This record gives sequence, structure tokens and C-alpha cells, in this order.
Amino acid sequence: MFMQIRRLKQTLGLPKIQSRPPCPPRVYQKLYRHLDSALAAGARRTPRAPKAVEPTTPNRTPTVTPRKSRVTTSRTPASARHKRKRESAISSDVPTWVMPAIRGLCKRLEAPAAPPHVFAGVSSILTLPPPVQDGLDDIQLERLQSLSVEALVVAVYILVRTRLLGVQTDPKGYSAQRDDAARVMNGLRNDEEPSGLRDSASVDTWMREINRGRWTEMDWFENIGEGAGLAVDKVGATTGDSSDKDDVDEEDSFLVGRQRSDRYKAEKPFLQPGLGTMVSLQFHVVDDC
Amino acid sequence: MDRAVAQALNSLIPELNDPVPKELVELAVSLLAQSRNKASSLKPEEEIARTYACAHLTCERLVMSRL
Repeated sequence: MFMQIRRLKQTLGLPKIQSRPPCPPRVYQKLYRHLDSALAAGARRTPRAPKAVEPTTPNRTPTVTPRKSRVTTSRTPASARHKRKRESAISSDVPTWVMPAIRGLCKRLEAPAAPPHVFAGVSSILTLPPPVQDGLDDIQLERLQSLSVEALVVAVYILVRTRLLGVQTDPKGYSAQRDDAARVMNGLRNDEEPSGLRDSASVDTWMREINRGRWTEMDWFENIGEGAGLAVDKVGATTGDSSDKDDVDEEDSFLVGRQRSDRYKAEKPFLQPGLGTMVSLQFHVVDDC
Repeated sequence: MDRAVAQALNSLIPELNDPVPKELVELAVSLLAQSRNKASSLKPEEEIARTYACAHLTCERLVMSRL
């Protein structure tokens, strides 16, 4: 519906509307308001028309695949159709380069516990409806997405990092973190694609949007252990290790020129169980073996 | 029904060229059909204005939506 409106708007321009209703003005005002609210609620629930999804190429594109409903949902029963169709396609609507990029970013910035949280955040924001439904409609949200997924990754990373450290970030600290992360993201990019996170302004725009839409009031953020720290604990070590190995091919395609052995050597200090993980702030544990 | 909608649209946007764009009419008709679903019982004086109000809503939403 909104796609049709946008197309029509482009052809029609902005016409002047002269209202001459066929009933008394007071009656008409009431009727208009009544229909406006009744149909607005309905319009939000109806699913958007499917649009052709841009294919993600092996050397990734900087744009986002549009988060439209997929053709397969025609098989779902009527009750399921009323649900947001995006719920069924969370990982597939997020470009494939995102996870390796997140891993690379978090590794360079020494936050090995962050990647799954950052990915959950990015996926949620790209595919789920926001907790706050006022104002920003689907068209405006799509425009926001076209900004830069990399900027979104940086914004979500900063939020995750702050939460994991359990600290408040001041404006200066935020700017420093943002610029560091932006630099790393640009460094991780394939050299053949110069476009990308050109400036930090898009990160700020995403931050504002995350605040406005209260995107942090969702499971992905609330499940992050506040003050849990940036390091991976013993339990997470094995899962982190195996999933890194699984994604080795994706990382190779994304990070041009990096050696596999380099990556594993760099990861070892974080993933070795026992070292540093037995010592907590409250109790000093002495190993006697 | 379509003609009533088209007439309402013409009245709302005098600058619009005859005939009214088909897509605009279809959009307004769709909104009208939805309104019959969502707001099925209206007072007689309101019912008279239903078509006009839906056409009006269609135009306003077109103007209000920003790229």
C-alpha cells in the first residue's frame, strides 16, 4: 500500500486538496477522524507487497536487501498471514557479509564476547518492527536502511560494548569509539569497493533512530549481561571456537589477504580456557596445579 | 462505486487532470472497501459521506507521506 502511495506521489506531486463534504462539517470531521484511525490500524497490519530481493554477491554489496515478505509465506495459513512476515526470515534478510564483518570488527577492537549480540541487534533492527510504532512509517524506515548497514553495525557495536562493560559513555568517549569502529570497518572492506562508511554521521543517525524507536527495549539487548565483560568465558569458549571455524570460508572472502593461521593465533589468547578466567574481582583463586 | 470515488477525487483535487489516475481511484476504492470492514455501521448522515471521506483520506495520505 505504501509503495503504491510513494509511486503515486512521485507522479502526482503535491496537489492542493479542497474539501467540500456532502454532510455537515462537524459530522464530517468526526467521520474523517474515525475512519483515519480505523484504517491506519488496519493498514499497519496488512503485509507489504513482496519486492524482488537483491541478490547478495560473493564480494558483498554495501546496500541492504529490502526486508520484504517472502513468496513462501503464501503457503502459510490465514492466521499466520496476519503476523509480521519478517519474523520467518530473520537471518536470510540480513546480508551474508554482516556476520564476518562483525567478527572482524569485534576482534580488532578486542571484544570477543560481542559478535553474537551485535548480530542479534542488527538482525532485529533490520527485520523486526520497532517497539515504538509512532511516526516513522515503512517508507521512512526503508530510507534509513539505505543509509548504511555498516553504520548500523557500528552503532549496535557501541551499544553492546557499553552494556557489556556496564559503564556510561560520555559524548567524547562515544565519538572516539565511533571513529575507531568506523576506521576498522573501512579497513576490513574489500579494496575494490571504495564506497562504504564514508563518515560517522550515518552512525549518529542510526543512534538517534535506535533511541527514537527504543530498539534497545528488545530481547537482543536485554539479554546482554550488563557488565558481563568483553571477554568470552569458559562456557562460551568452545562454541565461539567451533563457530569461528565454521565461518572460516565466509571470513576469507570478506577479509581479503588475511592468513588463516594468523587468525587462529590471534584468537587463541581469548579462547584458551583457564587463563585469566578463574580469577574474579571478588575472590583471588590460587591454582595449585 | 468507482465512478463515485472518481467524482469525489475530482472534487477534492480540482487541479487534477481528467480522467483521474486509475491507480489513485483503485487506492481509494481499496480504502473504501477496508472502511466497510473496519467501520461497518455508520449513522445515515455519516454513511452518505463515506466514499468522499475515503477519497479524502487517500489524498491526504499521499500528500503527507514523505520520501
